[in-house]
Amino acid sequence: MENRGGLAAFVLAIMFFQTIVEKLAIAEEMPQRIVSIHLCADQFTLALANRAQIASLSYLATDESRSYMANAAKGIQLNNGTAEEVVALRPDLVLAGFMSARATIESLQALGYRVLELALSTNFDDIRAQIQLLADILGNPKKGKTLIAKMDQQLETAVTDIYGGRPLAAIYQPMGFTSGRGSLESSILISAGFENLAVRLKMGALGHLPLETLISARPSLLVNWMGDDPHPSLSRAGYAHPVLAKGPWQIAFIPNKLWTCGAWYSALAVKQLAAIRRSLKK
Amino acid sequence: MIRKTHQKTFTLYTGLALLVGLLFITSMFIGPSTLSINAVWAALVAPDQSPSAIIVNQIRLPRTILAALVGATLGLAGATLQGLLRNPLAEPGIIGASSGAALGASLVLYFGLAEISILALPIAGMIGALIAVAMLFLLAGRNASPLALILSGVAISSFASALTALAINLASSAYAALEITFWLMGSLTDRSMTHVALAAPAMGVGWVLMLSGARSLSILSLGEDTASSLGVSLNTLRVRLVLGIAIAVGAAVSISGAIGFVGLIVPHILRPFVGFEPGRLLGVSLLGGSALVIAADIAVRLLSTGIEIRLGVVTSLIGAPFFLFLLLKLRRGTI
Repeated sequence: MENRGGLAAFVLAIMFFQTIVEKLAIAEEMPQRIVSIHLCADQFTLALANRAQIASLSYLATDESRSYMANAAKGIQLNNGTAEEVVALRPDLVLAGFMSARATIESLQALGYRVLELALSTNFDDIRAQIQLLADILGNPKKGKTLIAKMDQQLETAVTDIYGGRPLAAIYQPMGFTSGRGSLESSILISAGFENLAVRLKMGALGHLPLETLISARPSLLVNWMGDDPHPSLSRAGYAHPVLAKGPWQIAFIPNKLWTCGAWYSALAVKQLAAIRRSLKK
Repeated sequence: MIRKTHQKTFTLYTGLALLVGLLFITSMFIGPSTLSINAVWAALVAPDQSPSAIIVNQIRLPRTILAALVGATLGLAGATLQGLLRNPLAEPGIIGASSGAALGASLVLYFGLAEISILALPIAGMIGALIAVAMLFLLAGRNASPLALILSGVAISSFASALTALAINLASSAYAALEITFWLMGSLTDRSMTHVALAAPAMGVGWVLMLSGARSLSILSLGEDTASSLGVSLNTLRVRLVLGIAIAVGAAVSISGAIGFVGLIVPHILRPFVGFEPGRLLGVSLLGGSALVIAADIAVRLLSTGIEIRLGVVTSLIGAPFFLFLLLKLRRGTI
């Protein structure tokens, strides 16, 4: 009996010691010179790492129209994402993402740098997993948990009032591009309590919605998330069809920066859209 | 004999006009939503705010009108260029006029000039087309061999495309590349009456300039010296026709994007019917181009499920093999 108690104490002591060793190991592994070459990685780095850990961010990090964390990025050295620049920054962790140049990533890996590629998050489960993964790697697991909790709370309040049907909405970008199943845009729209027209029409992540289809389907909301883009483009050159302005729908412009990455602030887009949905019902 | 020729011409014009009319009506019935004959008729005669009336009057009608006008412009410009250069391979796309127009339009788009005035777009298209055609004359000269002409066209097209790519590179909009790539493939989807009003007058002016050279073009086919001795001022003719081509093609491309090979196919098919007379080819090519582009635009709508197939892609799929076929024929000396 006594022996057993001693064994238990011994096992406990070992477990305790192990945790301390693990914690030390994490602290030791905590990257000290993080270089991000991707807009979305910039956002997570700014939110989850300590400022002292960040060596450089991508050149888009301070662009107010595309980067949610633009203010926090001020004062940090920016890069254009070429291997040469990255090497000169002597990073111990390089963060890249979907659509980063393949050649850059491969040459950095060949040179022995630790490169982490962020996948494209298309729903809130992906986003939760990505936040936690990055928080762990950057050495701040607690910050990740807090961020996820904040996001989940916003998501919850957005959909507390769906009892009956979901109003029909469509993502309608300049030139008729829309987003269906498997896209972040669709997840945001559905999380806000809408039915997505592109999903009803069985469209994939990127689809084309002719005006005719829009007019026959009569959605109650069109969502444009490029409308606030201050850069000149076809969509701003009076190329919109006059029918768009006269339809039975409301048109919502959600800031571009809330959609460019799947991140904790995607919940803010959900919140804005849910508020619009409530105003539609009145 | 003359009377017989007139009769034949009259039959040809009537036939082509009927074809255009038939295709125009068919086009009003093609789209993602199915509308009955009665619904289309009711929408045209008594337009109201019903979905079917909006679809017919504000979506299908402007699209079909633009297909007719853009097609006519490209067919006519092709016939005019072939007559002027006395070369069966000349075409607005091949000689670089379309790329020039596209360059002008994309410059205006991505540097924000289009937001100042909606007129900036067609005007830039015209200037771009004009510069391209002027460069062609400088590079290939008046009596260029078919080979020299095509090479000059390739050079001008490549240069204009390179500058367009540079403009996209420098554009601040992150979506510029996507937008312009789709736009350059040529399409008439979801165009409105505003676009018709914007481009139609310029195309009309271009047509008048080109058609007014018909007689001189026929005389020119006898040789430059003969033409001069018969009182045709070659320089005036050249300036008038080049201006006409630039104005009409520039306006068309700035609305529809590049729709290639129409100006090559149409005159070639119709040439035997007008006794190989360049001047008489102009009017029929105008109607023929119209019919071809409306038909291609109908095909686009019938073939598309999901992401739309682009009109320019369809005409190039037909046109590029045709171009190769013409090249082979030319090599065997049968044109």
